[in-house]
Amino acid sequence: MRLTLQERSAIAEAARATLVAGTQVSLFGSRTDDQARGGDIDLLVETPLPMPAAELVARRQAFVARLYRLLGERRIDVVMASPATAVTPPVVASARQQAVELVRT
Amino acid sequence: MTAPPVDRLALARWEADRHAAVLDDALARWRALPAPSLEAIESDPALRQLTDQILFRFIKLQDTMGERLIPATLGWLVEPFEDWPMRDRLDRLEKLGYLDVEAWLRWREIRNRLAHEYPDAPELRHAQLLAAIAGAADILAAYRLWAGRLP
Repeated sequence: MRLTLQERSAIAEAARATLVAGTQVSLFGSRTDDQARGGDIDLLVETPLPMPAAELVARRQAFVARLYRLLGERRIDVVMASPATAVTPPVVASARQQAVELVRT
Repeated sequence: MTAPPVDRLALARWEADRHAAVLDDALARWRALPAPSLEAIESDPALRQLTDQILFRFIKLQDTMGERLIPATLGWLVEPFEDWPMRDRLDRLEKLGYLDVEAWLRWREIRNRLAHEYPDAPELRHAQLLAAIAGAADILAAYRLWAGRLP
């Protein structure tokens, strides 16, 4: 995986500050490929319990805002997934296939 | 040649005021409607135009504040900001009471998400749209407070 120590610790700090306990944050996308270069930081955030869409969106905002504060404004794409979803959206299913766990709050 | 601080400030305000006025009007029209569903927004051209207008002016107001109002305000305050990274500019303005950095960064997140169409589930897209409209109202209020402290 291509993340610096500073990036990994910023992700862990932002997750603990803004996401509920038991949330799993994983890396997916091109940053999981050691041979690739550059690219967005793609993160999959999976909440332990069902959460209303408005709260998922608010928590994503707070999580990314904290990452901007810690790392500067970067290209960070966060996919939120909650166990309530009856049908798993394709973007979540494909993220899960590549996911490398970074932190569990 | 760089414009003198007061001129830069007047130019930044002129531009931001134009976006703020349209945003204010669009938000008033939005608030006058019963909360529409995502299907209604996506199928009714007039509603879609209204939400697009709110989101467009939200982006423009934020860009004008970031690119023009922040440097113009710091220049007017005679702060040696030219070589400061954005983070230091934001921190200084927060300290001086012009903005809330956490809120600013949340608006940046909304703005950056608006730049793309994400294949999120419909309920997430709806919540994201409502959050962006709430963010537009918040940035408008923040701009008014900020502008109220300028000459």
